This record gives sequence, structure tokens and C-alpha cells, in this order.
Amino acid sequence: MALPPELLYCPCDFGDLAFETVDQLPDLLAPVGQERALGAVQFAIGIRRDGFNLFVLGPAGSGRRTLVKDLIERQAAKESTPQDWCYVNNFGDPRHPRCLGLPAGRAMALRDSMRRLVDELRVALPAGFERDEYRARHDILDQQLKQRHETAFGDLQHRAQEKGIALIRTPVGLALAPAVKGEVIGPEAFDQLPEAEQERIKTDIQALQGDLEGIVRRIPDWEREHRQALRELNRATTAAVVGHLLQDIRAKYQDLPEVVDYLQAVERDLMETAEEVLKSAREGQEAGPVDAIADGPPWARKYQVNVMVDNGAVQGAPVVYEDHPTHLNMVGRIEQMARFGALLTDFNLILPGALHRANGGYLVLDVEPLLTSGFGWESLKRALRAGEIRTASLEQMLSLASTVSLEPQPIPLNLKVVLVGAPRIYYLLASLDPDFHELFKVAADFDDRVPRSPENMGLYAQLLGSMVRREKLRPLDRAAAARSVEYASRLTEDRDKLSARVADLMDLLHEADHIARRAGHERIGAADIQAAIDAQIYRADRYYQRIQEEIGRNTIRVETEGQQIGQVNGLSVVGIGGFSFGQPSRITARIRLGHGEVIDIEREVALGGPLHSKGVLILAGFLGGRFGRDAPLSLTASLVFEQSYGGVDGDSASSAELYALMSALADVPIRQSFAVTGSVDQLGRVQAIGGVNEKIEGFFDVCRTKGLSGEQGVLIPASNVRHLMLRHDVVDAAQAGRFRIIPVESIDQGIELLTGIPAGAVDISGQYPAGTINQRIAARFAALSRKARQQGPQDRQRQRKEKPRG
Amino acid sequence: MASFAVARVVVACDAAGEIAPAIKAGSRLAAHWRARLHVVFVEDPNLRLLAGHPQVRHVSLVSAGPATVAAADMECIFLAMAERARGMVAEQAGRNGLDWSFAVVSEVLSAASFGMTENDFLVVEGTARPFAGQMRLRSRFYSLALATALPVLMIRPRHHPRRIVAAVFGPDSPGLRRALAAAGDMAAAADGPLLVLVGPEAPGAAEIGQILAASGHLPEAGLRVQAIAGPATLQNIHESHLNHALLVLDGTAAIGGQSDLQALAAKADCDVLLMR
Repeated sequence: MALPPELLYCPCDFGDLAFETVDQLPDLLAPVGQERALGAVQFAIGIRRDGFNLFVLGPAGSGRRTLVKDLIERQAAKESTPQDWCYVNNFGDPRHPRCLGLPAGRAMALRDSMRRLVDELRVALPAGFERDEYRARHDILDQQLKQRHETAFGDLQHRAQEKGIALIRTPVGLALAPAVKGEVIGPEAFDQLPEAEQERIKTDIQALQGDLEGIVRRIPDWEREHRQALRELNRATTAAVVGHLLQDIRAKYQDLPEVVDYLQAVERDLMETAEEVLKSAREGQEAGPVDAIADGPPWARKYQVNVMVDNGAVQGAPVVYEDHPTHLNMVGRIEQMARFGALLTDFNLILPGALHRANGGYLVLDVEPLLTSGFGWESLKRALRAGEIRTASLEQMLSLASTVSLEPQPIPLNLKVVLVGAPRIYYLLASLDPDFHELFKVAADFDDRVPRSPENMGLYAQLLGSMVRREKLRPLDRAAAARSVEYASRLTEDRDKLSARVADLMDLLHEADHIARRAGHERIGAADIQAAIDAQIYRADRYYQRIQEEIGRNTIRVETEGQQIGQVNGLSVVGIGGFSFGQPSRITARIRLGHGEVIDIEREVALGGPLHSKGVLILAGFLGGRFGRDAPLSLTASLVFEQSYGGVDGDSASSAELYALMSALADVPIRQSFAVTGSVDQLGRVQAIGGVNEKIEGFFDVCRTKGLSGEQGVLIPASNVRHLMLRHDVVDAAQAGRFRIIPVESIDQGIELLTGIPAGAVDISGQYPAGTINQRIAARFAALSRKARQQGPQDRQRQRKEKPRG
Repeated sequence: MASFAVARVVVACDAAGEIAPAIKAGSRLAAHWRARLHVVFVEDPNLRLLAGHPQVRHVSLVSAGPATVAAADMECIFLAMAERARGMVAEQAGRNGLDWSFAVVSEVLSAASFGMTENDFLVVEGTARPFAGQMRLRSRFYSLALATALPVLMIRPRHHPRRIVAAVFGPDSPGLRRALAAAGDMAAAADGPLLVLVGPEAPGAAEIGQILAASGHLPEAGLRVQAIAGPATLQNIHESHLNHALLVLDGTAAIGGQSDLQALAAKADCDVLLMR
């Protein structure tokens, strides 16, 4: 019997829920019907154990990310704020910068303190070296050196003069030469001197020469001692200045031994850097473009503090969402700067990644970009396994580069990672990645649908209210809210369910709001919602309308009246770009003498999918079970979707294929005013299929085009009745008796409706009543069997060879 | 220039000194006074005598021990340094747009041997090239500088005077006026103030200002006149006034002996202009 209109569509009734518009309802605090997933999320964020990271799986658009983020943010707000982290120079080994952890907010203070220290040093250090005390001591040292020279050389010069010998500066050094009144005498004049005088002069020159050499040999020692004395003076002067400046900073960080240790290293290093500071100050060294980027002159860079994480302004634990989770965006990067054609780097150029920012809190990631972005997944796993963040370039990680770079000290990692993704990715990772279960022990499985109970419908109205408030939309009136709920049911293909894909609903509300605004409505009404639904369909259904048009013009042949043997209207669902529609097709069956084979032509030409082939084999099993228990089925049957040029899959047409085959076997025509959908099992029971609404509407549109006669309708599995949420025009036609939707439980019930002839039940002797469909089929099989037996083996072999296989 | 005129700046240099500072200083002065530049490279006869002298060994910081220098080697040194000096003069003259000449002499030092005449201005190095950075022997030009009747600038190896100081000990005289005018001119060229240190017999501050104004060399950057404590001698000029300064003296007046001047210049590390 045809279904009454009330079973074709389930209108929404909010019952006693009092509201005129949804904005009068309170905000929805928890998602509708996702208790299992919520429990998992709360468990995961509550447990602080290694590996209890969370994977949130559910359909896209279900609002799972927003929801989980909200929950996490609420939890994070109650937690303590984690440490700040910074990198500082490792004075003993600059290639391995040190990390420092400080209580939240104190890293920036340390950075500022060190900046001030550098600024003050630029002034105070030169000032210290300009003081009279320093200059006086410096002058004393210089004078001491000068006096050493003067004393030594002066004494030598004096002695030389007394002996008539001149000390002369020559282009290559100093020389002692015989002289008279200060003027050198040449070899000839020397030879004129008395021999005794010559000997004396020779002896004196030799002695003075030895003294001169002795002085010259001592000069490097004097200079070394002078330099050493100057260095000690400089160190003492630097220590006085630096010690004073560092004193205040040390006092602030007495409670942090690592910082105190670092400050001691700074002080030690400054002793060695003082000359560079002074030189820079003396030369009035201006910061170049690179220095401007690097914040200060070159010598100052090593005393800076590179704050990686500043949680000073963070209330509670941080919640970080990284939408581009590449390796570098996860673990940070070490940048380089070009200087005179070379690429240089230091600890100031280490930049934080998402793991740094989320450390001590929560990191939310979409799993698809994580898996497809460069090495993001590997980096995340590595960090979670090691419990630390090791900042290294991809080249370093893969051992592709051998250039000198930094290896910063790893930062301890303690965070909760939340991955958000589609269920198929969860299952893929679970089966293919051995680390996955170890690192992501909790799964929050968000359903894509929730029960359409009165309570949930009320919550749905609240959800609409929350959306309207959040998105600043016009409020929905009661009827519009009801229509939205019905739309949500239709999305699930189930009158007892509601879609959890919040994004679809949001899109609908946005569009309805737009329509309402253009119409000058202050509220969104049911008509606005319906107009939005119609507009969405209209934008997407060009191809569907083309198909309908071609059916109307009989280019695609679909009959909606009359009777045909071995032909039935089957229904399939076509999905294009997110839009699905039902398409009727003629399914035909032909039989001939053979060996019990049912040939699926779609499969033979590789247009049929495995599920379709399975359906055909099942219906063959039904025929064999019912009619071939005592004798082999001596037939070959072929089945095809006429004018189908694309692939066919699914078993929803298996009942229609069986009806066509039975019609051909019984030689009884089928009413073409019906279309059929439903799968069948080997016992002849009709089973539920998907897309029932689209299929019915697709055939209805064809019938309407060709003319509704009142005889037309669709046979659907009885178990699909609960899925009916049909278009209003279909419901109206059914109510007017111009179109029928008839549920069937079994093949026998269906064939009776299609042929108008009883199917016939087997009696105790195994016979079917005369004139029934089953009796006719049994008789046909018997006739085929007799004919097969009359043929010899050679004929059967020939028939096998002629079998139309590729 | 009312009180003194310079037609030619003569720079004398030799192989025992540093060539560059004297040539650069002479070039700047020639450009300032729009005078000709004449550079004389002196092949010191004493150095020539030392070369090949069997009794003489040269001691340096770079050789392992004392070594002789052959006469031919010394000639090579003279030649190389003279060429270097000529190249430097050409470069400085080109840079300052000077009319210049260059000569090599190998005679006993005297103003006549350089072909110097009235209105010439001599620039020499006061000390030889330092040995081991500290040891500075008096240059051979020193006695010439004191003996000549022409104005002489004796500069240090690192000639970068930061201030101009004039010291006047005696009463007003043409020599004193010329010295003050030269000091004022130098201060104006350096765009700096002038400090005048005066002895008890010297003119007062106002008078010195008038003298400078009359000569047209009152420095715009300022004039400061300060009395010398104690007797008016070079030894009484405080070292702090003279460090890295150009000290202008009246060369026609009694200023002490050679050793006084040398000691002062060496101690204070200053250049000295003897204005005549």
C-alpha cells in the first residue's frame, strides 16, 4: 500500500519549547548529542601522562575543531601559566646556544636588562677608560716603557758619545759608527787614525754593539710586559664598570641559579670584549643595516637574550593553533643573514615554532596539512618521543648539509597535542604508523549525526540561536528554526536524525540572512530558509536539469506508462560536486538457454563496481535457491542499465534487476509507471539502500515532466521508510493521489505490484499455484532444462565457446 | 697676508725619517698659502759612509743579529726612497692642485744646499723614524732648523695637530707679531681656537688680540691668552698644553737651546713651528 503523506516527511515540532525567535534561547554550551566525543576530550585534557594526546575525528564541517578548541581554552584558563624560554649565547661554545627557562614574564625582563646593560656599557665602559685615574695609570705604564727605552738607549748613546762613537738611525735600524764631532768618519779616514786609536774604537764599538744588541733583544719582553700590564689595567677597569652594572641584574635573578650562572659567564666574557667595545665607541661605529636588524653593534649581539616564548601576557596555559604545520613552523628555524657575501647566523636568529609557543599548554593541528606539509608529522613525533624541542633545519635533520650551523640546546617539551582530522586518516594512521597509538592514545570520535529527539531538537534551536548571535545574523522565527531542523534531517537522509555538520547549517543561515535582508525582513522566516535551500539546489543542479530535459525529450529513454517484459525502471544516485540527485534508468533482462549464468554486462565492460557485481551474484543466488534446488538452471541471463555510459556501483538496483529477470523468465510484463529501488538478499528480502529521497524525487520529476497519471510511484524497501524526508511537491502529489511511494518487504511483494499477478507461494509438494509469477518462472526453468538435456555434450561445448565474454 | 708671505714650501726628507708626514704637511700648507711645493730628498753623506764601513754593524728588530749594509745596498735604498718620495709628492700635488718640483741632493745640510731663499718655508721632521716604537733620535734636520733664518715647521712622525698654541716670551717685536700672525693663520686653517701662552714681559691679552686683528689672523673660533707660571722658558710650559699640538714660537727671540726644544717636543709629542 502507498505510504500516507505523514510518512513521507517528518515536520519539526518544538512542542512546549517557548520561543518566538531563536535569539531568545540561551547559548548552547555543549554540542548536541556528542557525549562520547566530549567525554574523550575531557579525559584527554584532564590526564597529564605521556602519550595521552588527542585525535579528534569526525566529518569536516561538524565544528569539531572550534568545539575542541573552546573546551581546551576553558581548561587551559584554569591551568598554571608555563615558563618563558629564551636562548642565550654559550660563551664557551657559541655553536651550542644555551636555553634558559624563567618564570612567566621574566624572560622579557631579562632581555630588557641585558639590552640596558649593553646600552650602558657603550657609554660607561668608554667613560671608565676616559677617567683620569685610568689615563694616569695608562700614562704611567706608557712612560715606564718609554723610560726603559730612553734609559737603555740614552745610556748607550751617552757612552758612545764619550768614546767618539755615533749612534745613528739608518733605514734598516741603528748603527754605531766612529765619528768626529758628531760626523761619521769613513773607512779611509778611519784608516788614517793611529793604530792604537783604531783598536780602541773597534773594541769600543764591539762592546757597545753587544750592549745595543742586548737592548734590542729585551725590547720584545718590555713590550710584552707593557701589554700585559695594560691588559690587567683594562681588566680591572672593565671589572669595576661591569661588576657595578651587573650587580643590579644579578640581584633580580638570585632565585634562578641558571640565570646567575649565565650572568657570571657574561661578566667573564666582557673582560675579554672590553677592547672591542672601546674600539667601537672610539670609531663611533654606527649600526649598519644588518646590525639594525640584529639590534646593535656586532660585539653586543652575544649579550642579547633571544626570547623564544614570552608567556607574560598569557593567562593560564597557552592554546596554539598552527594551520601550516611544516617542520620549520613546528620546531622553529635558524635564520641566516648575509654579510659581505657570506651567510652568518647566531643564537639571536633562532626563531620559535608552534611547539615552543604551545609548550606547557595545548597545540591544535589539522592532521591533513600536518601529513602533507614538509616533514611536519615526523618532526612532531620526534619531539613528542624525545620530550624536547630540537631546533634544526630540515637539511640538518636529514643530514643533507654539512655546513657549520648552530645546534641549540633542546628545550624540554611538555604539552598536549590535539590532532583534528577525518576518520579515514585516523584509521590509516592507526593501521600504518606504529608510533601512532603510542603517541595518540585518546580518540574523540565526533558523529556526523545525532538522534532527532525532542530534547535534541530544542538544543538545535539553541544552536541556531548561538549561531545567530555569534555571526550577527537576523534571528530565525519558530517556523524558520523548524525548517532548519528539517533541513538537518534531510542532510542525514534520516527523519530520526539530525546532521551534526554545523558548517552546512551555518552556510544555510548566512544565505537565508542574505535573502531576508534583500527582502527587507527583520527576521528569517521559513520562506527565507526554503528560498536558501532552493537557491543552493538551483546553483548546483544544472546537470540534473539537463538529464531531466533529455529524458523528457526521450533522448534518454525512460518509460512512465505502459508495460514491458524484462524491463523495469531502476534508480541510481549521481553525486557531482557535493550535489546528489536521483536518475532513473531502464534495466533490462534477456534470457536464453545456458548453464545457470547471470551475465552482468556492466561488469563485463568494466563499468560495474564490485558492489554491483555482488548484487547480481546475490540475485542469481536467489534464483538458484528458489528454482534450481532439484535441477540446474539451464539458462544464461544478461542484465544491463540501458543508456548508462558511466560506472555503476552499489547494490541498490539488485531488486530491480531481479524484477526484470523474473519478468523475462515469467514472460510477464512490468508496469513502467513504477520505478524500483532496493537491494535484495539471497532469500528474496528487500533491503534498505541510500539516497532514497533523491531517487524518489528523480523519478517524480521525470513523471511530472511526462505527466503525472496517478498510477506512477516508487517501490522502496520498507526499511527505508524512516529515511523519507521528501520535497514538499512530492509530498503534495502523494497527498493528492497523483504519486505513490510503496514500501515492499520482499521480492514477491514487489513483483506482484509491478505485474499485477500474484507471486505465488510454494505448497507442500513444492509446486506454485498455477498462473502465478513463480509458477511461470519454474515452468520456464523446467522447459529450459528439458531443452538442455535434449542437446548433446558437443552442443553444450559449442554454446560455452559462444559465450559472450571478452 | 699682511705680516708674512710664503712663496714656496720646501720639504726636506731623508732615508732615516718617515717621508709621508712631512710631504703631506708641506702639501697642505702650500695649498693653504697657494705657494709652490719643492721637495728635497737628502742622501745623507753619513749614511753613505756607514755603508761598507768595516767597523759598522746595523742592528734591527727584524734581523737575527747585527749585519753590514753594502754600499750598493745603501744606494738602492736611497734610490727606492727617493722614488717613493717623488711619487708621493706627485700624488699630493695633484690632489691639492700644486705647482711642484722635486730634487735629490747629497750634500752637507744647509739652507743653501736646498736652494732656499727669502719667502721660503721649510718643513722637516723633528725626529728620525722611531726605533721599536719608542726610541727617537734627533733628526739630522734639527740643527739646520735652528741654524737657518727661515721659518721652519718641525713635525712629528704622526703629524695630526689637534690644536694651535703660540708661546711668546718677550716684548712686542716684529718677530713676535709674525709668530702670532702665523699661529692665528694656522688656527683659522684648522678652524680651531688659538691658545697664546705669554711670559711676564710679553704683551697682554688685549694687546695680543689687537696684534692678531691687525694682522688679519684673529681666529674666528676664539682666542685664549694664558700666562706661563714662573719664568718664561720652554720648560715651564705645562705638558698638557702641548700634547698633540702645534707650538708656534718666535724663532728670532731667545727660546732656549736645541736640547730644550727637543726635550719639550719629545716629551709633549708636539709639532714646532719656528717663525722667523
